Amino acid sequence: MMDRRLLSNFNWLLFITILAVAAIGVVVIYSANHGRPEPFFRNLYIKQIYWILYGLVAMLIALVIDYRELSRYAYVIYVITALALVYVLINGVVASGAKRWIHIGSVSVQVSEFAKIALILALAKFFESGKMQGQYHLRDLWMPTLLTGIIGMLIVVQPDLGTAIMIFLIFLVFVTAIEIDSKFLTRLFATGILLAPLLWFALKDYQKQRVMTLFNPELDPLGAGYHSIQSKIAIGSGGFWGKGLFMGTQSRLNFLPEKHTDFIFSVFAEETGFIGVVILLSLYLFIILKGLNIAFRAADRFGLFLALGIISSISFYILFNIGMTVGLFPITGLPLPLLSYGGSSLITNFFALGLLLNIEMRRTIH
Amino acid sequence: MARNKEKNSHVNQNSLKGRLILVSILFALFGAGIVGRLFSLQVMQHDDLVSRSEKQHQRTVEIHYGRGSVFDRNMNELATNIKAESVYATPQKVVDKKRAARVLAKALNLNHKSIYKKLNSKRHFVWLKRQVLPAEIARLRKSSLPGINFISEDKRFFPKRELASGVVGFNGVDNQGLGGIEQRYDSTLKGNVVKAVMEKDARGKLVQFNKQANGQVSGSRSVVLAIDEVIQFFTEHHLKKQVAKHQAESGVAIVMNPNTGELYAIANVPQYNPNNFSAYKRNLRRNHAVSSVYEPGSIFKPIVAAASIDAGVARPQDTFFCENGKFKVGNKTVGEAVNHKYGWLTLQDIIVKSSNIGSIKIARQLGKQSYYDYIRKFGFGQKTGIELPGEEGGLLHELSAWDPMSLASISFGQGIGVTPLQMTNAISAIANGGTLMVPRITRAILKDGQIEKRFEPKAVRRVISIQSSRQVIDILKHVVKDGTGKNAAVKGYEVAGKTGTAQKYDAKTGRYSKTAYVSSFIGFAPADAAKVAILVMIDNPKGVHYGGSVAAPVFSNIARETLRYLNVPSSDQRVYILDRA
Repeated sequence: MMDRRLLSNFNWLLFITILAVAAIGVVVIYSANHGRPEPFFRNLYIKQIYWILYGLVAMLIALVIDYRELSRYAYVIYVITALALVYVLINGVVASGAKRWIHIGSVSVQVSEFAKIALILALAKFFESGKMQGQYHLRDLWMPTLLTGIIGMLIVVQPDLGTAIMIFLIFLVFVTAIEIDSKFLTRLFATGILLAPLLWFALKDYQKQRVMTLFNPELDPLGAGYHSIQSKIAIGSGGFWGKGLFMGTQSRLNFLPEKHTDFIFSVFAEETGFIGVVILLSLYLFIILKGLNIAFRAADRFGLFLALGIISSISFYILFNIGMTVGLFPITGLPLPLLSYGGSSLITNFFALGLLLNIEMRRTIH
Repeated sequence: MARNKEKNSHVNQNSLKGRLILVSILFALFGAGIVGRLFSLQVMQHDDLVSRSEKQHQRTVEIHYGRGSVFDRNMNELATNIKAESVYATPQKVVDKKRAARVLAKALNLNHKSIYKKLNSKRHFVWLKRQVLPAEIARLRKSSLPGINFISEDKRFFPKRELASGVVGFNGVDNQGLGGIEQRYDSTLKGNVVKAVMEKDARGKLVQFNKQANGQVSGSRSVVLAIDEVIQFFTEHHLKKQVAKHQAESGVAIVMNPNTGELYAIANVPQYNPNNFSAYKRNLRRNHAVSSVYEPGSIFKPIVAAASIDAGVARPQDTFFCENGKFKVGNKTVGEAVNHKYGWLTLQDIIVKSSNIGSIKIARQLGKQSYYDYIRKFGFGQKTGIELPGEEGGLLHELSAWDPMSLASISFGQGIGVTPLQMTNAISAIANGGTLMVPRITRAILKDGQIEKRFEPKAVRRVISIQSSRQVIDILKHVVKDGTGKNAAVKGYEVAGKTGTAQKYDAKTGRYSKTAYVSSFIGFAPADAAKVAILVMIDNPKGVHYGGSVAAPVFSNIARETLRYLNVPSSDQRVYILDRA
């Protein structure tokens, strides 16, 4: 399975960076909830530590198999995931107006998190062989569009617009990366941008409201704009040096909603200030740059596309989550990779980053 | 490992890189936007967002911790803090409002209806009762009604109760000073960081006081008074006794160090207890020594004597004709007390016998311009600048407004209004050799137990020469030795002073009353090296009303005890010098 030469290729620095971010997450989850009366919330950070341990197991699995083996099973995995998403719609658990989770034993699993990886695998598999002659055209893309569309639609109807947008963006990264006529690509994006307003009519009311309040959250400070305003107040009141760890008033006093999940960055920013934020963003930047580097140096096309898909997915999540907390993007309910509380997201990310490490590890073994 | 088929063709690395760089740039732009946004929020808009955050989660409840103490000159506490509990409600959390109101009304001894109304308020926070002693609400605590909470706060406490209450003052429920030193030095005593802030969470539930309010308040300042609680105690004691004995309306007494202007005691009778100030009428809480204006009557005569001696227009042995007891000034006839009929009297005897007509004669010889100037120089008609609230400047008409009667009546202390403090300060100037001092009620301000500011004696001006003062003191000694002020004598000490029996002016009839008087005595001892100057004023005593009978004995008692307390050597004490050789 794994031999010594592989181990010597293991990127410890990246691995430690990933662990460091996850550890920061545990501290912030503790801080966000330490003053709450409910033991459930107070002990969330312990659960997060367990999720990290499970995540490390998932990472180990992702490391010991040869990622190229996954190419063979990519479509199978895709089909199983799609079926699981269908099952969510039929038998899922409704929480906050959305059917996103299924119960397995005592844990609830958010299948859409895993679906991202399944889609990335399937798309990498599709583009692995490449176009034998010339460049891709629109008619060549019906298959990846369908692959993306099925998963995307299954997630949109949950509804989970945020994750669906992420999936669409991952698809766009693939389309950009393949051999495709530049002019055609430009036209495609231009059409997309022009058609974007039409999407408006497809949105649900609460989604429209979120977009509207993005532009002017003060319109409805206690309603739709509440999340955005509170997050900005928390971040801004942290200032340059922060209020100190465990000292954030906005989070401790429950003004910040979803503070250990979607808005964990606000808690972090309130307590550690601009300084802390810059340090955290530097850690993320290192992971992203390293990921892109791994993609470029991958031994084969499958590895390249897999790594590219994974790292762009993680980047988009970081960008959109933080963009949302600072009020640049609408509130979409996306977790911050490695930092937010949540098993599904954490395990998926550890698995995906495991694959990334795997790709780097095996790039010289042929 | 590498058993997979080598799969082909590399991606067109160049075009891929180009596009990905484009994507990366787009990405980096977003990233830069986020960092810029964070900088804008956390650095540029920081202050604004902090205040929004505070507005949201902080409720400033005016609770003052660590108010500084008020000490007497020997560091005895006259005002301090004790822990008290305040009861408040979070109405939304009160389940059974009717029952809660009933329990609370009984436990806190409050009106049932008003509590019920408060419990139905839409606010998140209502005070039910402030500053209750912990023991009183022990049972209420046990009943643990939902939505009813307790905050421990400081309650102002005056351990010496009525003692010096007119000076020390009293405090409102938020501990703000409402009278006396507490009011005058409110901002000093309050300290810097005593604003208590409660934090509330998103649902408006009050969580807790922040650390600042709970912790020790540093930078707290205390005020050290010039008052000596022992002297204050004698003064109040003897004044109170005499006021009661003569069924008088009120009394004021002042004990001052004439050399420094320091006030050892200011007594007001009747007294009030500042721990329960609201139970007393407003007038009772006044410090009459500085905020009430009286016609001084005969105790003002030393001023005309001092002025004419210092101006060189008369000597103590110069004689004046006292018109055999009847003297027409303008269209009014001035007489003497008890219908005395004096003929020729020396200036000294005019003061010793307290002749009104003689005083007019002296004043006329001095002239109104000069007399007016001396009155001003002695500090009348203007505030002394004492560090107490509510000081009055007295009433002295401009010279241009003096009618023919003014010079005459002012010479024996009518037609002029003075505060007891002004009078004491003026007599102190005579006692100390001629210098008017700034009367001082405070000695120092302490910060965290260390002296931050010391108040030093301050002279206003020289009023009369030392020689003049000696001559006036001699005259005043005779008042006590063989004049109207015999009752003021203190065994073992020579006393100088002057009695006063001022008819009270009745504003209704526009005449001086024939039955209501202010009896007073002002003086100092030991006469030739005065250590204390004392004024005693007793308002409207029943029966005997002469200052020499009503006020002078009080003076004597206060002076005797104060001089002994201050270890002033008496003439009884012999000094033996042992020659061991």
